[in-house]
Amino acid sequence: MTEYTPKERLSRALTGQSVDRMPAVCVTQTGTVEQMEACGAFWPEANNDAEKMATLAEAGHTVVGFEAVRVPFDITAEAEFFGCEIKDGTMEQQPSVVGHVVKTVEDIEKLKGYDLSQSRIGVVCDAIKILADKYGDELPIMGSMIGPFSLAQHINGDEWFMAIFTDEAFGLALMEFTTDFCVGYAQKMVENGADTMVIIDPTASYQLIGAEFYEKFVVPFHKKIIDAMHEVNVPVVLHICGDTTQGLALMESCGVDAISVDQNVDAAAAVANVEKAVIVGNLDPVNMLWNQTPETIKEQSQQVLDAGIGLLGPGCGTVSKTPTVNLQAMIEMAKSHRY
Amino acid sequence: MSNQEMLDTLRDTIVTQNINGCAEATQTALDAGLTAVEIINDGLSPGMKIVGDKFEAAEIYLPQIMMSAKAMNAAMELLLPVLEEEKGAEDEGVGTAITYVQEGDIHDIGHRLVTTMLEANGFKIVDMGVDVQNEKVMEEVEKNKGKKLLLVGSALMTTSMLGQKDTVAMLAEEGLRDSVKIMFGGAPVSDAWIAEIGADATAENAADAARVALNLMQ
Repeated sequence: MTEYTPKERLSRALTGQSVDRMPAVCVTQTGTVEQMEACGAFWPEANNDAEKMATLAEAGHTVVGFEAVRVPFDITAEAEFFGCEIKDGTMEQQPSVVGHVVKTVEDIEKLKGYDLSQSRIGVVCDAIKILADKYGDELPIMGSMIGPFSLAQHINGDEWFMAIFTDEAFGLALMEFTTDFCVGYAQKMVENGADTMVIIDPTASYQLIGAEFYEKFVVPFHKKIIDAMHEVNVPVVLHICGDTTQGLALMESCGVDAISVDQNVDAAAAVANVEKAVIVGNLDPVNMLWNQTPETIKEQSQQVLDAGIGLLGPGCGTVSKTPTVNLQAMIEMAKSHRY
Repeated sequence: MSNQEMLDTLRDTIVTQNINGCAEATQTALDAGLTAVEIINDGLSPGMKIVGDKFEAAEIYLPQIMMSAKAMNAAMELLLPVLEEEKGAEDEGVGTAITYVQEGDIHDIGHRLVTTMLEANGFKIVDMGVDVQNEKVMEEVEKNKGKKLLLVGSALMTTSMLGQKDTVAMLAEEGLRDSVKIMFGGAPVSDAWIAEIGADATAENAADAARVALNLMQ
């Protein structure tokens, strides 16, 4: 039987080629307190320092056993880059966006002309470089960023949900702006060694905005990012929260390679609702991975695998207090699964 | 216009997200002699119920709900002072709801909707906003001790949901647990979680939250 490196295996699995077995990866955030204690790189410092960020990402592989390394651990660096006020995280909590900087089309203009080497955007790219230098031949190097719709919500505030309803010109202008940024940022991550891109766009949930808004304010913008990634042969995974079952066909229409779904989605229904996108997920990060035993996690993993999931993983970001043994139970199930 | 026609207009302005129209219809109803309670219970609240049902049925989405909530707010701005006069300072109505979003979480969409819905259903609201520390929650419960009291917390992130467990534990430690009913909501919150941490209830959505809240206060 052909043996693949983890890097080759994930790349093949995401692009519809045959593989020997399922890769064991986590496309959503991987940082946990147990890993921090094992490797000595803790939140919140690991969010702001490239060396520490790389060290904690590496622990996902060396301590837990994921067959990939992934940065960063939160989705606020992008809003912070544009000057949004951020509430710092703690060892157990991720930072959050508390202030917003764009109200009008004129405000968008003021943000143009940015330098991608600045702020935590630069830190993430540096961390990717460190990881790629060390593991680039062997492991997938996953770069993650917030999606353009959720970034628009971060920089405009919750008014954003009304803006797409009442002020289409502004809504589309802000989407153009955030998407251009996302394309540039993703390309920079790839230049630094990322070989797999993850777009986390939680508020672009079909459950929240429905087909009409999703088609107008999300699909063309995701497509732009994905086209740019496909030009450099980088597969893209899209993670969106909520019950997205009815929206999966629309979500796939942007050309994305894989879609990560949360625990509210029935895995079999998800697989049935896409044409060729790989479905990723969807163990409950709280009620399963954090709070259950390895035995229960294995049982639930088997159900999700039987449902035809393409990549077994958490349905959302890993909870920081999740025990390593629980993640390892999931990893073991993924590794022993043949398609 | 008959009273029923005025109430139907109030309901329809909520359903059609007509912010100015809702305020106007509220003023018209007040001028015609309807009480604030009638306007809320028989006009606005049925409108919000329809909005909640339409969201559940995936006929409308968050943008429309937020606009309906805005229409509701426009009406409530006119009604709150009238309501106080009608009921007198002594009357507690259905109860007081302290609403907040757990520390570390700034997702306030669900929080705002639930607050609006509870207000529409006659609760006196103490809105503590987003990213609220448990210590502040304790202070607010202490301050309102002795009233018909409901604590309504939301967390949209799995990481911030952890804080809900501490909220219940702290209320018990402070001897305040029996002074208040506790509802938690947010995408990651489940019945199993509510049972585990010793809270009282959760709800499927904002419209359902109002129903669950009223049941808890009985």
